[in-house]
Amino acid sequence: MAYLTNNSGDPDPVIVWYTDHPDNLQITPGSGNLSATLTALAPSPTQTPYDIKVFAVVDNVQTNNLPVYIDTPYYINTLGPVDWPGGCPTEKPAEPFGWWTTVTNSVLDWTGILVLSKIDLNETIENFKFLQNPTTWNFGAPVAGAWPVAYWSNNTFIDNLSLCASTLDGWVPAITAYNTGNTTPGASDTQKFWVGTTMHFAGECVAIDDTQFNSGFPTQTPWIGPGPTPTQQQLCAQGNSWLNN
Amino acid sequence: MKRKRCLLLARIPILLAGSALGLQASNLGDAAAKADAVVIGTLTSLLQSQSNVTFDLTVERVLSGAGVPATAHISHNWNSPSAGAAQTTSVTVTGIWLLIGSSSGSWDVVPVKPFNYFGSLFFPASAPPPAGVLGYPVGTPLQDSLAFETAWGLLQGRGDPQDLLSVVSPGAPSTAAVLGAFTASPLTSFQAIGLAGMLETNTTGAISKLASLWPQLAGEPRRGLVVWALGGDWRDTTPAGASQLAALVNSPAVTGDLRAAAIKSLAATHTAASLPVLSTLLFDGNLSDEIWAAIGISAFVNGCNMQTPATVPGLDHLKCSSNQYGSSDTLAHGVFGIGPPERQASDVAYWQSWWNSHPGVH
Repeated sequence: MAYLTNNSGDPDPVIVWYTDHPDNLQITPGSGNLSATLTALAPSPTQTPYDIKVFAVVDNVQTNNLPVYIDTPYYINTLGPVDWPGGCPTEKPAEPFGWWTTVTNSVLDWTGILVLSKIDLNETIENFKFLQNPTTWNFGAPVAGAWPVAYWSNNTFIDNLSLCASTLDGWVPAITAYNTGNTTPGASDTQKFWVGTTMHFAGECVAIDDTQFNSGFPTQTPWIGPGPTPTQQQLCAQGNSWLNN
Repeated sequence: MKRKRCLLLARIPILLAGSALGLQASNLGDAAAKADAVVIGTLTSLLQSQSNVTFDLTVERVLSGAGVPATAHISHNWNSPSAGAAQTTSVTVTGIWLLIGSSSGSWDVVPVKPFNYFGSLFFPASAPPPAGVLGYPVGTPLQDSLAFETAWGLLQGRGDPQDLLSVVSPGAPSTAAVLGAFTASPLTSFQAIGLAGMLETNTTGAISKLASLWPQLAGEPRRGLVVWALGGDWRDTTPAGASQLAALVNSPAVTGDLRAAAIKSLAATHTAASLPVLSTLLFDGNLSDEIWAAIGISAFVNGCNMQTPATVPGLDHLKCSSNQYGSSDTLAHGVFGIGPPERQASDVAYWQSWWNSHPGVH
């Protein structure tokens, strides 16, 4: 909320609010235009604090600028996958055979230096494809999840990439060294983590990870940003990929 | 004459879709607050389907709550497509269970992890009670008994060591003991988690322990958690603390990732104690070092609050008050992030020039 103190002497001044970045910041004037609600639409355009200016014109006289900075979740910092041999029998006792890995993630802001704390986070799986054609992979695609703040640990959230089955025979292919060749029954997908909702966009896409996994072990590419423009950010957050991969 | 009026004074930092919570309570402690009772219990078989899982829990100990029977019948509804058709599995599992009572006499559980699989319903534990440094007396607060029980179970191989980080809290009486037990383990996975926890909770002695254990973590995949915690969470504003981090920065035995995290921690404090090492880094010819030095020095000069995890939700570390060194020019050249490559060189050049022209701050 931004407020004006009317010292013009005019009891009923004409007040109009402006910003130099209307694509990034929405201004909704309040009663009598002496206040305004500022709503973030997209991050600051230059990754520089206070690069958005808000001002008002009061009876044709311009106020000082109100500097505004809009930070945003932007990157995923990923650690893993870390193998946990005891995972399947411990976590899924009815399916004790297979592999279980953990991937620890944290969310950075778009300056790349701030580790954000707990926030409700959604996941979308995109671009699922088999590495082997025709494939003998019979486990389907991984299931997207969500990490409400209750399931975070400090400022990290843990994803599990696992493949557990009740028997070795016929369910889990023999554990092999990981490779991305088209002769192994593997698959790859794009994991996208984002905040906000698809019905009412109020947040930002965080990042996109590429994950590749097969019967041996999953791997992940380094994080990627969701795109530099507000349009790309919104596409990302609404469940649409702007990456052509 | 142009009139100036209706001043808009404050700067407004906004975190779009901002972080929701601070750091005080542990993850498991938050979940336990929703339960009627918290128990250590053992099951020997379970029946699970896509829509439900049931089992009988032999209660070993009650950590909180009343009216829990010696054997509690648990029924939990879930949507678990991977569970497949209904089947009974014989397996012995001991865990920490967060129970919710019902009028029918059966009990439900509060999940402690996302996704609907059996392991999401409990935290690891061991049927024999914790002993030694992890033993605790009757009447111990739940937050601490949860930490002792989890650490005890994990050290006996009952789960993923990383689960410990969900039960430790800064300043809790149990924190130093459980993290100390982990760093004392012969297993590097436990050492890494213990170190990361010490740094996350700003536990005294963390940097000394880090310096001694780091060489043996070279092949440990969880060592990255230590790096994250040092850069993101560890803050020591004392001259002695700055000297410890400076020693890490200058040690040839320290790996590049840990060195970078030590620099990040120093740059976040915005203290005079950090200036000797940051001013050296500002001129070391490595642009990455130089930009981090510029971040720390500019925030000190502009009187900005220290950056900690607690300042992130409100971006309070971007609130700066002028001090004897700051000016409108230094504020205009404040470096609040790494920034695009084309800007880094100019940011560094400004602060190198500023430093050279202000010997009084040296």
